Amino acid sequence: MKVRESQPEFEERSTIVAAQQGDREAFRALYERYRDGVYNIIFYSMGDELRAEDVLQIVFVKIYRGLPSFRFEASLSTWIYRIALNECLNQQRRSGALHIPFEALLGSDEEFDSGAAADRRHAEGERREIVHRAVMELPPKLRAVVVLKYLDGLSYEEIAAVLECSIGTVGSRLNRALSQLEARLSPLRRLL
Amino acid sequence: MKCLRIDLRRTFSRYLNGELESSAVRRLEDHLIDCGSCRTRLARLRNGHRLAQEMPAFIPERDPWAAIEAAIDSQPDRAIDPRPASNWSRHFLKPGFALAVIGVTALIAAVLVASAGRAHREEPSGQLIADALDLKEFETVNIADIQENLKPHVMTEGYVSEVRLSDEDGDLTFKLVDELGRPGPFIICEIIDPIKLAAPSVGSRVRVYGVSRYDGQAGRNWYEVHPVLNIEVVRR
Repeated sequence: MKVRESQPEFEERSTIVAAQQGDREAFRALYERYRDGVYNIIFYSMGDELRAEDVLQIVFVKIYRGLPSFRFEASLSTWIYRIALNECLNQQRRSGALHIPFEALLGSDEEFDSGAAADRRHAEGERREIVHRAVMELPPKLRAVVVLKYLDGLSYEEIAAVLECSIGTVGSRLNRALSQLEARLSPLRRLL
Repeated sequence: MKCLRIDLRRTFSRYLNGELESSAVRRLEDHLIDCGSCRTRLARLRNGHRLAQEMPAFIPERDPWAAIEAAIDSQPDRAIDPRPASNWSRHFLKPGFALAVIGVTALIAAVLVASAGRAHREEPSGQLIADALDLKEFETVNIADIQENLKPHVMTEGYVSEVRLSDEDGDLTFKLVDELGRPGPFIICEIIDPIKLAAPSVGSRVRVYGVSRYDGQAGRNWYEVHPVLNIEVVRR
């Protein structure tokens, strides 16, 4: 489920201005709109649920503190995602990103015996987890564009604005990411 | 046979996501008819695209709103930041290079304005740039003499010994030398977005027009033409 597709469209500007002037409900409306999308990028950057929740809190406090300085030169989403990615970088520099090797997920062959009567939901959960772990194996710059594109639903132009790079660079990074995902997961085709 | 249409391969993910303009779609699909290498590569990317579409989304188990409010309330009232909010002010340029970049930027802007009147025709931006350039203003520099050069806009001629696509940013780089197969002075030439030029083939002799610079980063320490504004093929 793409987070942005589930959010109703509404005029942001008046909400932003109200939040800038201290309207707590207006800020909460912005928080509700961006929380899940921001959480995805943080979670996929940090790799750990507890740390991601802590970073989410830090990010939105920074957003609140910085909102009066927001000049509408970029879209709010660009500005917010950029804050989130920068904070993830800060956190990783301080303490390192948690990394669970992809191979640790696979276990022994018996666990994935196709002859086993696996519960459908359990199988789907495992599939999602396999894809999730493969994404976590991507280099950070490639992982970021994949999450921003496939989960947060940003356009190439928006991703380029967030990452402060060219659209061509976004395209190239996505090519590399998809190629690596395919290479990583093709041996597991029978599981997927 | 290896396909050198890096410019088309860069559009694969946009094509898969349905975000490629129709003229570019046609160009790509025409190429795919004849290029098995690109068809294979695209098929792999399509598999990766399908897998990426299955990425699970996550939501926080605990809504941290209460903690955020508590943190906000515990801090002094925020003041309006008098500094510009834009991040662009962080990206300052050294003066010498800045002049060259300003000149290039103005040139590219002029080309984009000129291209607005030709928007209905497909025309590679490389040709538009070439049309807009006054090539006489480019200082002719030999590869071996590049370190003596003081002019920002140069033309240099040589053989293409390597072509690379950067993993990081997708920019195209090629190495220009006086003689193929022999060590000696070289110039690294870089084609960057939004200037779209066809990659020269390895072994061809080309004239390269662009902005001269020196890359002093660790592991580099070489002279560059960056960005490349025009390429003339002298001999394929």
